[in-house]
Amino acid sequence: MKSRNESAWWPRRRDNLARALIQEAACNAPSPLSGRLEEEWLADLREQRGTASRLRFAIGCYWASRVIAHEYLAPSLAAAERGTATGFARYDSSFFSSRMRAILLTVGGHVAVFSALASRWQRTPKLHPSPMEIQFVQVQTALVWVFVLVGAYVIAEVVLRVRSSARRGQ
Amino acid sequence: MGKPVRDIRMSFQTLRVLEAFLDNPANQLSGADVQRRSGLASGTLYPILLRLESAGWFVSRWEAIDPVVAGRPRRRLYRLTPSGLSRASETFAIFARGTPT
Repeated sequence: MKSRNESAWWPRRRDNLARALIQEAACNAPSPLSGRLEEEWLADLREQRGTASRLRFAIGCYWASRVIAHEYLAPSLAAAERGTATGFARYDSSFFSSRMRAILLTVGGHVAVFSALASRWQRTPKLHPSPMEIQFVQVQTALVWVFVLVGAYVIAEVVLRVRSSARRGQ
Repeated sequence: MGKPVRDIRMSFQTLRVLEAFLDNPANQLSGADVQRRSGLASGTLYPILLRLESAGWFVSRWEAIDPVVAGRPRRRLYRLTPSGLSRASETFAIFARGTPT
């Protein structure tokens, strides 16, 4: 039989995870707000009932920090001289760096091309594919979906950036 | 928040947040209180609170407690400003009339 301490291990881990997520989220927020948001969110986290809702709250805070960073930095970027990338580089709020995005897009493109070629290679589908082949196709499909989603995210981000810079330019 | 925002986009979620305060405008509510009343997720709620604060609709301050004595961290409390109250009331009146300007 599990002791009380052992059974509380998993919820405690999840609470720690929620706290870590909030601390990470606060780090992502603009520096003048970072300390305040961390303290505020950790205090509000305590008021959430149940470990699942705490985790949900922390994930929400993580999302909120990205939104806040994006909104907070828009006016300061507009105030900064157009064409200077220093402010943007310092306050870049995207999930991936430019280099990482380029790598992901390149790898994603290659996977997509190879998947397309591999699926076209076997023109006559086998009636009884081996479990290994089925697994391969499943992994391949999952990979393609992952890269399609990452690609969509990158495209959306680029479109948003272009739109916001166009708005600033007005 | 130091940076003023030009306009507040009056989304359904923003109205829910304002509604939570308009029940009793003198109330000072923490983010968790507003979340309970409005039913919004934290990812939606906090950007709205900061947006409204930077636009001057809300003011916020730390709860006046000693965390050691209280045994819990101090909360950030939000309150409608007089101008925020009048603008919120006006917004709800416009929506009630069904004639947004």
